Amino acid sequence: MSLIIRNLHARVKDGAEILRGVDLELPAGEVHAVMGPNGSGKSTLSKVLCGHPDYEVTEGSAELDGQDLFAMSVDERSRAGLFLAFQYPAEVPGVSNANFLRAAMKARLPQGEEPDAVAFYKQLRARMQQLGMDAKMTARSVNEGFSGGEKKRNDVLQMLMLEPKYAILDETDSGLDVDALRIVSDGVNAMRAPFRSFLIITHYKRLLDYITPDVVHIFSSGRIVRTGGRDLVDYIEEHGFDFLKNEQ
Amino acid sequence: MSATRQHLPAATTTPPDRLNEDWRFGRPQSFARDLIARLTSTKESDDTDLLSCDAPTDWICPQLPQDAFGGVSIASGFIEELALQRLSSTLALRIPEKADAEEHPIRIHCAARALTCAGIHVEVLPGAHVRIIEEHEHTRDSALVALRSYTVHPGATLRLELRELGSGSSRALNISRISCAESSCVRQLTTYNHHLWAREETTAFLSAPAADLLLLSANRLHSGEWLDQRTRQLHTSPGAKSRLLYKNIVDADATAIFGGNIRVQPGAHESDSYLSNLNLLLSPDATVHSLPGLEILADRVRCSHGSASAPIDPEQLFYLLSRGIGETEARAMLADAFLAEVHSLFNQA
Repeated sequence: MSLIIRNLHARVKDGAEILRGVDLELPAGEVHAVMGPNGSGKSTLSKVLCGHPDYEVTEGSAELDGQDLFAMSVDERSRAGLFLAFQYPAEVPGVSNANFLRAAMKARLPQGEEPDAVAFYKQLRARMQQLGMDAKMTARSVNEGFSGGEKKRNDVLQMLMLEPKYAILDETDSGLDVDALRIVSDGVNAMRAPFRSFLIITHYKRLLDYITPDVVHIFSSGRIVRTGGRDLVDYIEEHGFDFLKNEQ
Repeated sequence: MSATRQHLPAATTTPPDRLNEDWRFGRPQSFARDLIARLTSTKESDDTDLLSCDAPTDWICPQLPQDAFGGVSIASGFIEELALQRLSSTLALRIPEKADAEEHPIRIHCAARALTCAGIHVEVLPGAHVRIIEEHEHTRDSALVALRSYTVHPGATLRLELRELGSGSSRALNISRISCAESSCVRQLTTYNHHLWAREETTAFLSAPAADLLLLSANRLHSGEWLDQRTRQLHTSPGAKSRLLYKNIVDADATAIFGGNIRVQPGAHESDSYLSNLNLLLSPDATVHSLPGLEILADRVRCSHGSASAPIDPEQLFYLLSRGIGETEARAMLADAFLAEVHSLFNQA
């Protein structure tokens, strides 16, 4: 069971190529970190995997537990177990957090079945408490008027509720203060399991101080240029990404 | 009063122009021809006594005031005159001073048949608080011209919901006057459902200080439907407040038209007013013509207006899809969400 990406090339529709041959294997149970300078294509990778309509796969493949990921629609990918915590979560005025999550959970049930309301709200309250979120946020519109940090927490709440097999966290640490970062990291760590994998995209070491990755990838110019262990994070912290210029 | 065929309004579907005031308050489109033909035909039978109301009997007046209607249409004066001549179902309601009918709304029901010319006059006396649900229920191919007049006295509150329940082939024209006195509070929500053609002409008079008016409309237009809304917020006194938010979801080849205007008369200083028309387009074949406007003839006012028409935000759609919600469900949720603001504003205290 794994997410396998082979020689992935993708571009902005009718625009420039961003991903230039990404190879990555994310086995079940592992946490991989992807680091890299601004504009290297990290966020594009996450969006391409989730099927964002602005991007077009021009070459390569991706398999999710043996299924062709790119043959699936966006919602099918999610129901197959893929989750993206967005760098910039969208605001959806008029749709309450509770209704949004109920619809997402209902979509995972057989046709005609509804989530049990009592169990749903019990679980929702428990998860919100875990993330230090105000219970009143269930009635608020999805991300509307939320601060950057609240939006990130809300995305992590969705992840906790939907319990995906493969979670991509795209710069979830940006916009979080130290306390929020620790709470969110605790939430992610609590979800770590032999059947669940994480791909954590970040610029900074600080998130990886809380969530220890098994593997670290360095992204540059649309592909992975180096893969290593936890020590690679320390190397980046000390030397920055400048050393990549000599490797291109 | 004679009505002759040469007064028939011209059919036009010309899109609006910013400087074309004739368009803003233009005459009804070609669909009104059928309505006018019925109004001018001697063969067409008028349905009578199709208005009912569950208000206490001593609140219902035996007859309409002399000057209940007339002269408030924005562009359908000719039709208004014809309807006045054939007024077949009428209701006059007088809400007593300091009455409290907010928790248990008064229901007015109008059963529109082949041709119905209805007149509804409601007076909310000082200090009264009332909620009214006015339903116009249409049968197949029905045509309704409703002349509506709501007068809200000082310190009174009116929460008014007009529900147009069309039959798919029905036509409706609502010509409404809302008069707001000092320190009165009026909220109106109109919804038009399943009409082949519907037109609303609403004129609101803010003629005293501290009058507070909120006009709302939330509509879903389906294939072949045509909704034409014209509004006028007329500030004649200083210190009044009026807000308007009309939202439409326009699907298939439906058409939504909005022409609205805030007019602040000389001397109506410190007026506070806005109007906004927003449309969600669910189909490339959907059509929207929208022309909001301001005429400000006083100093020290705060007025704004706006209009926007757009399809579903692709980022919002992607967000819902990315959580596993199917596309049909996601689109329906976003469409419901688009109108939710209007209902939320209406339900706020």
